[in-house]
Amino acid sequence: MLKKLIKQDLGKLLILAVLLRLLIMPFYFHPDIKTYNFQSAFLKKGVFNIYTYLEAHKDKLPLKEEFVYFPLTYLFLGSYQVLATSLLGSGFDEWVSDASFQSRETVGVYRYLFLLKLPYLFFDIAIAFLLTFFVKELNDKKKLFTLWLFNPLSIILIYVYSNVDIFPVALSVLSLLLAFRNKFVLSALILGIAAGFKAYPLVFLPFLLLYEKDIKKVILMVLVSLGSFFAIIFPFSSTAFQNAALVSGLTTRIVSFGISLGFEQILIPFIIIVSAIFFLRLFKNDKAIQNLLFDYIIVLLLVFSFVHFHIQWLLWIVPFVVLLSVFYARIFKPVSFLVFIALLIPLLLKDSFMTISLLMSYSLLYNLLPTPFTIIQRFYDPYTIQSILHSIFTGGSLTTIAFILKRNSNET
Amino acid sequence: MKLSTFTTSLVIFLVLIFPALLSLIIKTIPEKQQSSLDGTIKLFGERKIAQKIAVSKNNFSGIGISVRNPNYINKNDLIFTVYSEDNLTLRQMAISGLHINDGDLLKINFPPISDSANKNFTIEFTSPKSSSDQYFEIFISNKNNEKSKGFKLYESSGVSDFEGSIAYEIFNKSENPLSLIYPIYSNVFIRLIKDPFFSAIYFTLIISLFFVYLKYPRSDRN
Repeated sequence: MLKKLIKQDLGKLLILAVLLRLLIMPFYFHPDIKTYNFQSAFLKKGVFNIYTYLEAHKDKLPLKEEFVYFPLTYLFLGSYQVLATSLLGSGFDEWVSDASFQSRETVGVYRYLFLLKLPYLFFDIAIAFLLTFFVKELNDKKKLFTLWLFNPLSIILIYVYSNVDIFPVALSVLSLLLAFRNKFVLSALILGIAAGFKAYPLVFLPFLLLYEKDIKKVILMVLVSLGSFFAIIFPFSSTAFQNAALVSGLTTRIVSFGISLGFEQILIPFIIIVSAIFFLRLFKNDKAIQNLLFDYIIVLLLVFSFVHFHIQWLLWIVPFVVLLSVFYARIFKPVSFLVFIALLIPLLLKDSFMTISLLMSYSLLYNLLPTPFTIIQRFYDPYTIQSILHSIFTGGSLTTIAFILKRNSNET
Repeated sequence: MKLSTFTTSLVIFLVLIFPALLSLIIKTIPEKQQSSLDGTIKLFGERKIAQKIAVSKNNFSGIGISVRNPNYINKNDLIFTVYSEDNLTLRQMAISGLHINDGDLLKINFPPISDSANKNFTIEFTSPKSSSDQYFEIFISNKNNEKSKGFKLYESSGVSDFEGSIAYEIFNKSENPLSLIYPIYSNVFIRLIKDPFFSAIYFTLIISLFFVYLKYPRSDRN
């Protein structure tokens, strides 16, 4: 059926989607791509534990950042660089370790950006196909395929912001699809592997467990999911890994905001609400599998509501929002609007690489332009505007969550 | 509008048109890149740091320097003055420490000096209200530019000459808003041409896919 679909309906759209991605890939530069590829380049030099290596050699390295991602990201990007060595060319290692501003405007920068983003294309297109397997109707398949490939948000988040989160995002979609097919153990395993790239998919695990009725299988799911995650991180266990990735500010940001109870304890709004929804699901008998999709969306809306998030994180929710267009069309547009509001918040940050400096592969002159933050600062406090937008997003998210839960409650 | 049409237009806009539009609002162009940041000089009280600079183009309109001011600790003004060769004050600007972010390039803009081409100027930084506890640190470079022969540090005890240079960058106001479009796009084009292996593969891929797209049969359903 998929072959028929490609031949008859979606082939032309797929070609256009690939063409657009190829067109944008070499020209937008976000410094993260250089940082994590500089770090991943050590794999081909025989470095296995990148966390301890970076800590030990920090003083001598041109880029001093820690490797904040989980080990599979390092192993995957490092292996890809080994495979692409001949295409990247002899100047790549020099470029990737050049911390100067000028390196963003050198000859070869387009080749490097294009080749380094090429693996994203594979996972991006894979998501488009995975989404079609969630539904049976041809029209629904077309809708999901088109919405993923042509929503501007995913193109911008993946190719403009050089978003390495595409790997765990694709695996999270695969995990959800397996759950939709009642293959819960495999679904849990894929979640564990996805967390090997970046830890966030583990927040889905408690909800996934709710949909399996057999307690033995639930235990097995916990074992395979956490087992695969710990098997991935175990060879890297070290203080450097703990500080850079496992309990880094980025990973633990989700539990950093709370209401003080005194004696150094806090009540964490994110955990309170997620826990409340988990128990609500636990006590109810409605185990319709599409509720799992809603649970994932609820969890992510709560993450973005209560955490100072990075723009790249928004990609986590995009495929699930696309699925809403078929599974709960009524809230698809409001949730898309909320994601759009969420996008505006990091665009107003002081960081020039959210906006103008992304064009530095065209010319370093763009760095002279004022950022939206600086422009707004002339009239009003940009932090207040960010706070207003975040509050609107949080208010809208909480209402959406209440709406989803009410709908579920009416159905049962 | 169909989503695919909208997104196609958006991508083409982002890749081909957006850089040109943004270039229209670049008002100042750097004449000289900032030299390396090798050390700092503290600035407070009566201390002044001054340097001769050579400007090669007209419309000299800004200076970029790097200043240490951790956590905006010093909220006093940094005073910047431009003197002509015969020591006349041409421009003077005060920048509040509230706007001086630690280590960032601080761009000080002033009304353009229209006939600045091939002239020497002296730039001077002071911060009389700063104290030895709350001060600014101006980044200096060990490298010396042939035209700027070191810098001077004025203190109550006398004047000291240094061999290096203030780590500065010169900006000139762009005379024509359209003037940057051609150099930016030609620079992109030249860099693509200088990487013939990549360019050949990339453009072959783009053109071939475009033709496949055009020739691909439309579905009967559409």
